[in-house]
Amino acid sequence: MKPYLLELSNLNVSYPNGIQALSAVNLKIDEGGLWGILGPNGSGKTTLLKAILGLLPHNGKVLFRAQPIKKSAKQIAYVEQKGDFDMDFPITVFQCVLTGTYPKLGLFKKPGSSEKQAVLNALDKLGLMQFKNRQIGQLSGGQFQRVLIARMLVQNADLIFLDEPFIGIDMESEALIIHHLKQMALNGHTIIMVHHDLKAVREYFDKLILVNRTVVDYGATEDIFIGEKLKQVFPYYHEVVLA
Amino acid sequence: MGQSFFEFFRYLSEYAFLQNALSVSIVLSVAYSIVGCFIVLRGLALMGDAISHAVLPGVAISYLLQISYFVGAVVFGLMAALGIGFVKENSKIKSDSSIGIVFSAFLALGILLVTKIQSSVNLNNILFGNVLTITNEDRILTYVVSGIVLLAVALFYKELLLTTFDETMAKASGLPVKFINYMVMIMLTLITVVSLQTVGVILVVSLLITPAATAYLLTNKLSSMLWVSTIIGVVSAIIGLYLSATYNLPSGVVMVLAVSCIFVLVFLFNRKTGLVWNKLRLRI
Repeated sequence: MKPYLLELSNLNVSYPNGIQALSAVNLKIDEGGLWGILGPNGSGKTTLLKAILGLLPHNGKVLFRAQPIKKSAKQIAYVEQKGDFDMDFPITVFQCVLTGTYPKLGLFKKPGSSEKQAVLNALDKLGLMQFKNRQIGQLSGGQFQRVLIARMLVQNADLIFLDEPFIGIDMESEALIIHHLKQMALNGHTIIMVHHDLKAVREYFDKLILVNRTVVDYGATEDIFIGEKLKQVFPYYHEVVLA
Repeated sequence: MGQSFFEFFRYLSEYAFLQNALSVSIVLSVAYSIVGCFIVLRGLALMGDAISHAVLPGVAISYLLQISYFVGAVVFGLMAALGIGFVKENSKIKSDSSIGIVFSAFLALGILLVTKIQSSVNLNNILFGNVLTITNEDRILTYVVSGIVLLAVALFYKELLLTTFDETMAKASGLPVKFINYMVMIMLTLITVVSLQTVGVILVVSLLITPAATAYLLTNKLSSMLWVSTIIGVVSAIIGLYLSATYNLPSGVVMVLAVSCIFVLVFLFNRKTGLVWNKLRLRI
């Protein structure tokens, strides 16, 4: 039997101040598909991603294809919220996207012509060719989010996490990004994305994970995006969304 | 001035001590200008200041034990760096406060030791440095340390870039982030210690930070920043040494003033972000 792409068993995360951010999280995810993580503010969505990635101390098992996830870190990409970046950093769009090739290159190796060509292809797909020599601080929010997606494309990872990539960006950028994410999911990549706009859920995601200090439920969008399930994490708002 | 410039070159061809001082200044300025870029971009400027002050007890103990000042200074520099991290991680005290606490304690200990063993330690040289009196042993040490640091930057360039720009991605994708962070702290300590001979404890942070910060104002790419910082560092080191040798001024102090003048000129007049140009643009 093929192992799960990602398997979480009894994952617990608590902050240094003693607050339990996530308890007893159990989750099994197969290869492929575009997953949405839904939950109210402060429900632990970003914490869940960071714990899976090993960026936060946690208890419990996190397995990637039945192996500890640390062993496969190069097969995993993470697009964090764009507000976490130093926009004055001396780096151009081209170089920023090129950093996506670094994890798989290994120590001491420099990116060659194939890596640079992959960057150009990604910039072209995201409509960023005219900005390739710009410093990142000279871009709009939507353009910079597209840069981060281009970097994720060149990483060519099997499992991809995105944390609220559509906050503060224009509709055109959002449409372009979701188009490429769907394309990647069709090509066998597994994408897990924290998302806040419930109105676009049915259109965007094949599968959903409901989070509220634990994983409340998960599965196909048509099975999860229904009143009785949503009520567990959005006791008031679900009626507005489903109306 | 022209005449004294030619005289400087004449002296340079005649006196080995001046040749040594020039070669040490140039090699060292390349190293501190490049390491300085990562220090500036990582927001570690205060850490550089702390380490430079914290090495003082190490220098004093080295004199006492009659071993190379380098060993004691590096040990105390690293102890200070680790101590700052330890206080920060094990309490709710923020990084700037933990830097202030640790470095002033080390500095106080250093001053105490230096005062007690004053007969064998030249406090003036530790505090202000003098590249013109550098010994052969220290010169070779400077070349070796600078070479090691530059080699480390060349070998780990992409890891340094990614961990400085986006530590989260670097961690998530399995890059050796802790190793690179420790490497930066060790490079900072080594360069600070070998720079003591040139500028001393008090001013060493200026040479680490100012060329890099000036280059930061002028460039949009890390590779360009490294080059521009190096050029500014080397030019100000040569100007400093020339003025020092010609007018009998303390070398380190003049180097710091030279690089500070370049910073002020760039800060005011560079075409992209200079204060004067920005004001003029607003008026137009």
